[in-house]
Amino acid sequence: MILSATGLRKHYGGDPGVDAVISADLIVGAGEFVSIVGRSGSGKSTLLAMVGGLTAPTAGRVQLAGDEIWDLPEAQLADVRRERIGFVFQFQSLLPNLRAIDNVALPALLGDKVTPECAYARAQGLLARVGLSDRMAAFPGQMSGGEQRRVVIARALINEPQLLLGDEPTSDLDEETEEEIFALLDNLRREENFAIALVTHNHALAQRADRMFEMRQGILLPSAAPRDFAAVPIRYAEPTAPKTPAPVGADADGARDFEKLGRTLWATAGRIFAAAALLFVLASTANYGVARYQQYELDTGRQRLAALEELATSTLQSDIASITQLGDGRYEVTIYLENTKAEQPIYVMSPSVQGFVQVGVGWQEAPLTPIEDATAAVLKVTGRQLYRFIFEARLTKFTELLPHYMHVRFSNSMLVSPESTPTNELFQRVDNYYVYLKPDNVDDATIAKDVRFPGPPPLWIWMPPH
Amino acid sequence: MSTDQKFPSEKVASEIAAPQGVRPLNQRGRVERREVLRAGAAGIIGTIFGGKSANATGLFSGLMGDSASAAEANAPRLATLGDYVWLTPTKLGGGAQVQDLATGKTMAWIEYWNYGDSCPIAHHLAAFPSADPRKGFEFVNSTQGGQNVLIYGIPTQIREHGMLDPLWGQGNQIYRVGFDGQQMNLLENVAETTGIGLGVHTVIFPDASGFTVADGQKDVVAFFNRATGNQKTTVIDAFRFDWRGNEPDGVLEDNWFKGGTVRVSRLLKAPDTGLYDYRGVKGNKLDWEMVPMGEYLAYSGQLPGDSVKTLTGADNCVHHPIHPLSLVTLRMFAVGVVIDRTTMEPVACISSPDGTTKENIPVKKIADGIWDIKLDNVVSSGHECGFGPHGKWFTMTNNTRQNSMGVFDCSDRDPRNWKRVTEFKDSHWVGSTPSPFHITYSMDGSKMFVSELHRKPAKSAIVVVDTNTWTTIKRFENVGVDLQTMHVTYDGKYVLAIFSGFQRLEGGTFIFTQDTLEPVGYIPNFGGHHDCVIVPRNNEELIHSRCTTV
Repeated sequence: MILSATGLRKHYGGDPGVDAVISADLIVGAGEFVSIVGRSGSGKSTLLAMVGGLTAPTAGRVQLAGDEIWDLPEAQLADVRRERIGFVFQFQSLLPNLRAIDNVALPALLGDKVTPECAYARAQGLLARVGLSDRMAAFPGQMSGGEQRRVVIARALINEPQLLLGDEPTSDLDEETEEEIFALLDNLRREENFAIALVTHNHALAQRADRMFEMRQGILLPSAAPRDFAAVPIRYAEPTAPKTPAPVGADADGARDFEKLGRTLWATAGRIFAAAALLFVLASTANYGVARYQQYELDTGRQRLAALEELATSTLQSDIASITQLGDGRYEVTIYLENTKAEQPIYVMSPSVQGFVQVGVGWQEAPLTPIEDATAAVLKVTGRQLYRFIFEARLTKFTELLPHYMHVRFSNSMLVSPESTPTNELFQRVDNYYVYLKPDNVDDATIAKDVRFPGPPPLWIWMPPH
Repeated sequence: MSTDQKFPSEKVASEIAAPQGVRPLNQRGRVERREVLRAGAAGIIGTIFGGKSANATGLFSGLMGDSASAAEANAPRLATLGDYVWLTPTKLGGGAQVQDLATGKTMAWIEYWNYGDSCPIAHHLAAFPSADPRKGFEFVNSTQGGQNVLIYGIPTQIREHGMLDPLWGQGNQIYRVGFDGQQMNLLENVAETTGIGLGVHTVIFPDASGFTVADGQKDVVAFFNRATGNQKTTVIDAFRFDWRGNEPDGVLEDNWFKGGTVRVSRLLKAPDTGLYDYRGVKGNKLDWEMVPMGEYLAYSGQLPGDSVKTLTGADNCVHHPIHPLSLVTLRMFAVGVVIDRTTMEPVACISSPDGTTKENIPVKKIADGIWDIKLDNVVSSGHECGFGPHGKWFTMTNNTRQNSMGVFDCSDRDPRNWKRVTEFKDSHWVGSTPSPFHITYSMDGSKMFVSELHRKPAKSAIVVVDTNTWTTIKRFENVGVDLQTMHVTYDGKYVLAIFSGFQRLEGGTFIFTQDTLEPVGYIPNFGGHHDCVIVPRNNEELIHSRCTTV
């Protein structure tokens, strides 16, 4: 007898709650094949979970080869699940990023009983026995449903379990494949001598078991008398001696991979750390160098911009040079541009000059027309150069900050560069020149009554750029 | 004039250049931004296209998080500036504010128009020593004439709105203000108390017993006894300076450059009122302040006023730190008239520019309260000046025509023995601008800091001069537009330089270290300031404040 489950009950919730399994007694001999049928919700899967050490029963006992599994500490119970019981569920449960052989070998690798070489060798053998010798390196996503189910079976057997629990392992397969899988399980059982407790809807298959049980509303009932298994000796799990088969193909690669992840973990981690440290030093050095270069570039750029600003705002000077009266409200306005360091030319996009007269608290634009050189597009300024404009200030009403005088603003916008064909930044400079301008129609005597000057009232009054 | 058509576009920068959105009328089209940027591969800097600032952080800043930028790293933490109180006028704002440099908090402010002044222009100020400025101190603040609003290009209507009252709308008030630890209180309008209204430099005597105020529009300098609290200020003496040119009827600039005589007159009180008669516009020779470079307006006849030809430009009066001597700068000639405060008489005149016939010009007493100073020739105008903190030397700026500084040995008690020992001229001072402007010294006097004024829109610089060799040892370029006065923290760690932005452009306070001359950064300062002081805590600190230099 490999499994003895007696008086099992599973109750969920409080009072009244639900009894998923009311009463179940299941005895399975070594190498015996029992099947359990029943309607959905009858408690079949819960029974299997209690037998397999997955769900603790509310009452009852489960002995596996004489060991009371629910009295074991969790760690040992986990060992029992991994080493002595194989599971085949109704869902695939393969790890999608591992190859077939890795999936099969994994339960053996998780323990410390076998070497990776042994685990992969057995996995290789199992996959061959389930007919997947040419699909060992395939990933689950590359396999059919039947193939995946074969891999699951192989995985369930990797640790040579005493008991294989199958919960609807073929429910989603077509009839032909289901038959193949069932036959495979049965053949393996015979070869490996493990017991099977199989939950299935398929009565035809269930009837091919040694004994059949039926779960009805939480109560497990025998459907047929079991065969005599007295002749079949109980096979207890024994420690597996390390084996060193010649690694071949995918299983050998997997074994080597596991060596790197396992036994050589700290050495590998050390190497990784050293490599990372080296990379960090190299990266830091490179970063420092790049930062230095960036700083150099920034400093150079700042110096260039500062020099450009100096050139455009200090070296280049500009203001109203003179204003003469032409009559009829027209004035000739001369603006100078002066390069105070004549050794280096300054290139200026010719001034865009506008004229305004204060009216109220605003500035009213008055026509300002460039003449002669002031119309040029680009000016090469090497000394003091003059531009002339015609300003037409024919306003009848304007604000007199200084009695009788117009308050005038000339706005001059320039783009400045030290190069005739600029390859770097340009400096945009906007000047405002303010003057008081004497209108045509006011005579000096009238002005002199309200404003005193040391001489005749000037035509225009320059306001210092202060 | 030559032209060069390599520039890629014939179109005028209108759309991108005119911040007010104005249109060009000169028929040359518009600059296409794309074309300009194609021409200038790296873009355009200046007022429109400011580039994003960059930091040299290497490759991995994005992975490791942004490190502090250089600007952040260099940004001054106000607490590091020291336990000082920072007093600044707000110029066209018409008031003054006091900041706590330890916290950055504005402790209090005052606006003079709140007291009935229809057009105050808070100009220069000076603070009297206080043992604990946070608990209280007093200062005097002059205000300029209201018509100065008309010379900055502001489209104002103050005249139309009747705000230029000759007495209350034309400035020349001298406000004495007290900070009581919580707020500022207007204690006295010295102009109203004494009848003398002046609008430029206010400078306190080294013993804090009084102060002077000068005004280049009126050519008047007044010496006041200090009052405190509710007391009233009294006048010690006041002088007027008038010019009589040798050739007053020729070309106008010859009125000054062909020489002449400065007449110094002691002002008298009106017998009927007991007050002087120089309030508001009374006594103004000029309608506007003579701003830097304003001398050109006088030379060209473009400066309106009742008596332009008599202009001397008596703009400031500074005090020797040891001897009881005060020096009045006459800007039109770059000379200093030295007044002995023990006798209240002018006793000497020194000439700063290179090329004048005499460095120390005699002062001739004509009658009681009248003196003449004959200047054979005039070669340049001047502006600001200052005594070194040890009283060993004196410097004055020569502007417009020379752009240099005269350096005098002023250690002698008798100013008639003061000699010009050298001339300092920075290599950048070529032509009419840039030009030296305000002056201050390091605490030990080993360095002279000179603000270097550039024409708008250029930014001003600071020149650091070794006073042993009188050579430039450091320049801070592009500090800020319209840099004004500077002040050293009394622990000798930092120099603070205020810039006003010609009343409307950028403003702030630039800071650098006094000894290592490293730039520290900027702190905000609002209001277009024209002057600054750290309130002194005793007379020793006062020497380094608005006392010996302007």
